[in-house]
Amino acid sequence: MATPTFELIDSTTLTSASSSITFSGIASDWRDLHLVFKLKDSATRNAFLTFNGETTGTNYNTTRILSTGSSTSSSVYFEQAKIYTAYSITYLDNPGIFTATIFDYAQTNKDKICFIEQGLSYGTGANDGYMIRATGMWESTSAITSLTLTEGGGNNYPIGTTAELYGIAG
Amino acid sequence: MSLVLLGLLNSQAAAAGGAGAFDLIETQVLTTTATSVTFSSLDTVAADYKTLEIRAVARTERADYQDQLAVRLNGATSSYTNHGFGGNGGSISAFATTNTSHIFNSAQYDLPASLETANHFGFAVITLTDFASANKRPIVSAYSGKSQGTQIQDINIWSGFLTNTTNAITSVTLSSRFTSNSDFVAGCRFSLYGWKG
Repeated sequence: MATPTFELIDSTTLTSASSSITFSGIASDWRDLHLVFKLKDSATRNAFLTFNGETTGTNYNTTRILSTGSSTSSSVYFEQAKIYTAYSITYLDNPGIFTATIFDYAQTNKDKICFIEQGLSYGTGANDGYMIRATGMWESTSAITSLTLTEGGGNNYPIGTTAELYGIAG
Repeated sequence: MSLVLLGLLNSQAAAAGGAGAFDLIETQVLTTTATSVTFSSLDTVAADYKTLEIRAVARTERADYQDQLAVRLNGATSSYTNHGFGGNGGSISAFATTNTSHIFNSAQYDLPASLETANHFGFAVITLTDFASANKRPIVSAYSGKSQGTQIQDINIWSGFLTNTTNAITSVTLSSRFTSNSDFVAGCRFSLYGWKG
């Protein structure tokens, strides 16, 4: 029997508003992790990613490219306390999504690197949307056993927000 | 010949049946340095799949802070065309190159090299769509990136194809774009996945 290659590890749907979502107790059974985060709200909402409860210090880097209907840009967030996954996931009650693939998350000979995809379309105007692709790094060789998504702007994620964590064999 | 003797830890997963829509076919983890890594006999080991995906987590011995990943199809050493764009935190640049000896992302860099912090690796996810087709130019698309302590960080989206054939892709070779002293280091990981179509 083949080894399952893409497995749902855990998922959560908020039944009350919350400023963060955490997956903990992540086993080292897979090679990569794949995170999917979906929500809809009337105002902008962010999502910052941290690992193993480390929410202070300077061990996180993010480099991203952003394209709107009329421009492109690239930005870097270097030596931060979190990975910047998204510009705004949702706006004007339009649903948004981002995904993050975390490579070799349990390997203790590598700092942890991830690829982030995010996009949002919230209107019919030429600039009413954007897409982001990003590289994120946690400068730690520790195996990732928990990850947390935090809104970070003093807001809560609304009821119905969902997060799914998958394991990928390799 | 044992792949372990070649400095590889090799595992194969989905060949025995019971496979799904997205399956791990093979993983190679380097136990010593290697100039290149090849997935071969794709017409056999990946015969059940429509599209292939390679995930690489790698760095090289190049005497620099960074390096570029190169892809070759069927051992061809010429007639590749490449397009893409990438950002480094300060700017975005686009590129197009023709008549190259490999497919690569020439806008930015993909991989940390020997001057960079030892535990920093870059990633690449390379997709070979319709790899077994014999009526299309062999094409790959990819995204890649790295993040380094010296603020040399990149995120890239790129593609390339062979311009002089419509043969099916039966082997894929990954290496540094640079020709000398740029081996992959021990610990690099390369996984081949298949998508049903």
